Amino acid sequence: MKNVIKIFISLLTFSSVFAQNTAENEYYRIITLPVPEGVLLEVGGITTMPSGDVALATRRGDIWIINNAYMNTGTAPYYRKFASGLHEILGLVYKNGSFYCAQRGELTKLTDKNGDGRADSYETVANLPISGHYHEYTYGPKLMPDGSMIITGNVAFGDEEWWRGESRRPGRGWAMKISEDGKVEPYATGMRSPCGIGAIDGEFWYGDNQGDWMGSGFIAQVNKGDFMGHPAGLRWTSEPNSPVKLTTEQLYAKIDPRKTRDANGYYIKPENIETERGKYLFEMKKDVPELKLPAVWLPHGVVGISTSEIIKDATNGAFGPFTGQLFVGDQGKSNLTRVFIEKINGEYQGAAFPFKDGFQSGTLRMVFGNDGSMFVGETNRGWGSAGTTTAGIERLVWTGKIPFEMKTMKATPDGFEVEFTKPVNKATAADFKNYQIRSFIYKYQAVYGSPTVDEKFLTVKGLKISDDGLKVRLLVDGLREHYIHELKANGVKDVDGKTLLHGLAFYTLNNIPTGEKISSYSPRPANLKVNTTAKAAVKLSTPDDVKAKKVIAKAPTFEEVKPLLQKHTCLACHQSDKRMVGPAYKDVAKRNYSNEKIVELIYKPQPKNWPEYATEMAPMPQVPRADALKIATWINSLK
Amino acid sequence: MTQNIIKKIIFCSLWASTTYAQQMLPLNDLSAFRPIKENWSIVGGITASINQTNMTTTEAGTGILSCKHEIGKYGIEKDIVTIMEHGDLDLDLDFIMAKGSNSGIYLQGRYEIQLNDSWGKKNPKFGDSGGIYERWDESKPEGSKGYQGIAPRLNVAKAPGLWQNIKISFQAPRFDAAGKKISNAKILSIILNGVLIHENVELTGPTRGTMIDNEVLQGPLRFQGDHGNVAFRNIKYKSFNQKSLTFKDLKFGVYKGNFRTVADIEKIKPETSGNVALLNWNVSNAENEFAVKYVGKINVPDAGKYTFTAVHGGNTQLKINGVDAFKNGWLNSGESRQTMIELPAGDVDFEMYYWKADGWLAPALGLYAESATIRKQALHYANSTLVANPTSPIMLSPTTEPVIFRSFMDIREGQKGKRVVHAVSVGNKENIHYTYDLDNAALFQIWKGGFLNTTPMWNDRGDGSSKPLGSLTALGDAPLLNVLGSATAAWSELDATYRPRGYELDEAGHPTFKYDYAGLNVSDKSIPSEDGKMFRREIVVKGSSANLYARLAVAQNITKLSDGMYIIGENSYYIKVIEGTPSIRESAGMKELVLPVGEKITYSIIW
Repeated sequence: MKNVIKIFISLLTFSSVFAQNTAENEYYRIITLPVPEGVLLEVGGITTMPSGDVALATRRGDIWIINNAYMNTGTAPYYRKFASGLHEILGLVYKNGSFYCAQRGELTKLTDKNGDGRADSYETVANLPISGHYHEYTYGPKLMPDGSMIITGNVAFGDEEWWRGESRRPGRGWAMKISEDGKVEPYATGMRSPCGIGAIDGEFWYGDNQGDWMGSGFIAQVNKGDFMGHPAGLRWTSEPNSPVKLTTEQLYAKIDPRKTRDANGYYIKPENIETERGKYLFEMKKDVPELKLPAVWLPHGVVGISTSEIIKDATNGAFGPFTGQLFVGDQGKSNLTRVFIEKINGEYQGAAFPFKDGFQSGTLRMVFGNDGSMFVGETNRGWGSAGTTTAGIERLVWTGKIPFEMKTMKATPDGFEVEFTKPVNKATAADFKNYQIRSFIYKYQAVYGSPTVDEKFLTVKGLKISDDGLKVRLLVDGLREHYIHELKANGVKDVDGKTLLHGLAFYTLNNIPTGEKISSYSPRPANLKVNTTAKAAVKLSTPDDVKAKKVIAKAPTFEEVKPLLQKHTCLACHQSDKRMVGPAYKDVAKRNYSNEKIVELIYKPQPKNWPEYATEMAPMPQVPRADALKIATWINSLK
Repeated sequence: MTQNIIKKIIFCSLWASTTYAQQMLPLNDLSAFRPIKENWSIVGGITASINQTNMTTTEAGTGILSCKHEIGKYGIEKDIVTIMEHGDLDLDLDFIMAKGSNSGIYLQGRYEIQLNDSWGKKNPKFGDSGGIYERWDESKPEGSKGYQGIAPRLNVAKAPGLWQNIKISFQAPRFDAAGKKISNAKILSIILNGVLIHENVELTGPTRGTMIDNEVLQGPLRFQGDHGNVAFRNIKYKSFNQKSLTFKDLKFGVYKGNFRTVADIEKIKPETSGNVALLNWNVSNAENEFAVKYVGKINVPDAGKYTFTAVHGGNTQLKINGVDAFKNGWLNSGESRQTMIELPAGDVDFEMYYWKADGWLAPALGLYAESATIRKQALHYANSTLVANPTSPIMLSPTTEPVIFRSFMDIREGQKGKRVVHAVSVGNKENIHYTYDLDNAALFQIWKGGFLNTTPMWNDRGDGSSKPLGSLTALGDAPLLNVLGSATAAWSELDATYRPRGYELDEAGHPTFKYDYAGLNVSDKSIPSEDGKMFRREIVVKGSSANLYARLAVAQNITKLSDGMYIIGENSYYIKVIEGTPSIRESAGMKELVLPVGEKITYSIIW
């Protein structure tokens, strides 16, 4: 019997392997937990319990306790329904014998008083105002050291201005701090879709994703009184208990909210204006001191598309070599991102690294289990995700092998220092061609999302490898504070000749530290050019470029177009023949658009044309025209 | 998402036509009926006992058709038959059953829709309220003489003495010129107490107890009067002839391109053309960037006012008899627009354009016509409006334990809609359910039948709301308790001392709602009776407050029936006070059933 179950479990594990990046699997394996038929685990919250059990809260309103979730002896987990009937739970913690969870309109405490393993007390800790708009989700709580809990409230959208996030009740677009006895205290605002939440070393962290006023996803540490950039919640800052004093009017005096009407008096949906430079979020900071900048941007499409849980690896090595670092989930991309943070001038900043792809569904909530493996709670209903399963729970287990990765990326006064998990092959690490650095930023605007703008390719002028081969310090020319600095180091190999598992990092350089400058480094060879491939592509793409047209004369194959789709992050939301976050390319092809029209739609998407899809497509003007045309030609070849 | 829901709502309401007034069967006297026996009379008011079999009490007056008949004496001559005869018919009436009584509505005097005191019955049969009664074949052996009785989908029958409503859409049988039946009579729909209990049911012949064992074009309405006391009021009907509008020489042309106006279409020649019997966008053989033009005649059977309802994804423009029926207008698939035009009898010109330029929009084209005497008919092939696969519903049913479920809940307050955002619905295996508003500490609705449709919440992103799946009785979303300055002070919203505390479950799983108010700790629990006939609500107050009152009901009418027993509204439900001393007071033109609260009050809501 046991053997049968073992086989069953190993089959499950095996079957999920196919979808995964096999290179990653050598180091971290995904184990899909078997779930009884009829149990739908659309996970909105996840936590561990002192008993060693894992508990899940679901969007369907149930709380499940999973006994034997680790399946160490090969037997199946046991699911016990602890509570049910709650209103779309999106967070769960366990404290002093009770669960706490955020429902749409309430922070609730659930207790089993009679000892039958099921909640019989559904206590209202705090009744939260809500208008009843579908988008008013509530996330949390996260436990704070003083015993209080922090929850966050999603915004509603306008009626006519359906694209504009609005706060119809106090607390929407806010983080709220709630004491154990139910006292609700506004904490911080400027949030749009604050599904990403985390309590890291006693501090509250939050992540948002692309949307109106949000150029891209990011994570940030949030203090009381911070303003995170979205104006909706400012509606309540004149309330006496508001820790944020900035008013909507004050903000709009500094930036145009783009509330314009057409000749018939109807509001016009603001679109990105390519020819306008616009403003960057950090530039607002001097006018708006309450503004808190992202600690780490998670570039939209590349790293993630919808930021979810933020957790810290406190496993002391049980989860591998990244103790102390953060892991951030992403519902849409169904992946995990690893984040290294450091404090410069009193503010957090750091680097985001791709970590693990291939989860079966949207990775919404994570928690470390008692053995240092990570449980990942999943859902994609209504939101779409790269993982095609509706819902479920998976466990990410370190295989014990150390992957060759950039472990950390730190800012230095004149560049960056990268630490590797294993000693590098010094020849590859000393080769300047193996380091490409590019910086860019996003616009801060009322538009949904932002293209990457103000791109600059930087020169690595010198480098120095530490004696132990674990660190490489780079002297970089042209650092820009607040910009995202992308480092590509694909060519670097370890002493065994293995390339980096992920050769990509994005460092958000809010502050350039002071300190010792690099000395006795190897200078860049004088004749070595800086690789500026993307710029070259831009050049190629002038509309009257004859070559570009030649290229598109024949429809490319998927293999030919795939690098472009990857490079421009299209595959984050689209697949050839399956609906994901966005429609399948086949379905786009069915619309019978001309190639030119598709290019136009890449630059200026019309989300209203796809009312069945929850997530808007952001304008992608950064895609060179030649590339866009090639993609369009390929799309139309799918008809 | 929201758009989808709106689409579906509009689609569902398409058939509910309110364009033409219904006729009312006068109940000032019995002149609308064939001569009758003494068991039928016109009265002005009626109550019935919920305990005593066949016990009703009437008041003099008009407006109510009452039958008093001792149970046990049968005979078709006890039935009452209208002078009015009908074929296709929409009927809408209220009825009251006495305890243990049984009656029926015979359409055309031949097909019986059963009325019965089915209060509390768990699994309704064809002989229960709303059932389509069985047919009968004497030649068959004992035990199999009855056949083709059809039980209602749900039992939503109310208590004796309460007004219940039934809406029946009936289609008479059709005959050819030789008098041979060519299609069966049909129940298009029956809605009992607001719940759809039958749809599109063919009646292969008269049911048992038919007036005459044949089928006809026209027959009277007949109400059964030989199985006990029953009463009827508000007997409204709309009678249809069997005429219809028909196309003649309907030609179509298909144009390909991206059009904005009819002028754009007329600039080019059609790619294909032909003749069709009914409208259908499918002739386009394209999903988008096409236009179809229909030109022909439509035969109008009688001169008069006609209402046309168009459904389309994209644009249409319609001219009938040279009149602009619909100007160029755009609709989302599933939306509709309506117009009424005066038409002469005979063949009139018909010209319709349908075009579509939005790739994302599902193509759809439908046109319905109706008049005071013509039932709403489709002038298109059915597949021309079926645009997408409907969503599979997600239903929530109670199990052996109560199901407690939080969602947004949309209700009506007078003419206005309201979304209750902290609603808790409780479903019971006894098939009676309620919703509680944590913001107002109010038990604001009760219903019987199924529990909840959670599709609006759980399909796709959802809008966070669920819908009751049964016959709903609104109790008003106002607080039960108030501290009043005086016994006559007006009822008000809860003040800032109110704080909801959630709920606790007992061993059986029933929730007790807890809240603080005016320095008091209040517990509020409602438990269904085992027979599914009533809720017993118990309020326990810890702490003391002078002038604490409970308002159990507010309505235009509240009448005391016996000690502790009250009938609320127009015989809408009963309240029986078990612990407490209530009184009826008047406030702002309404009656209120109010009682002072000490430590505890208990009462039942019976319906």
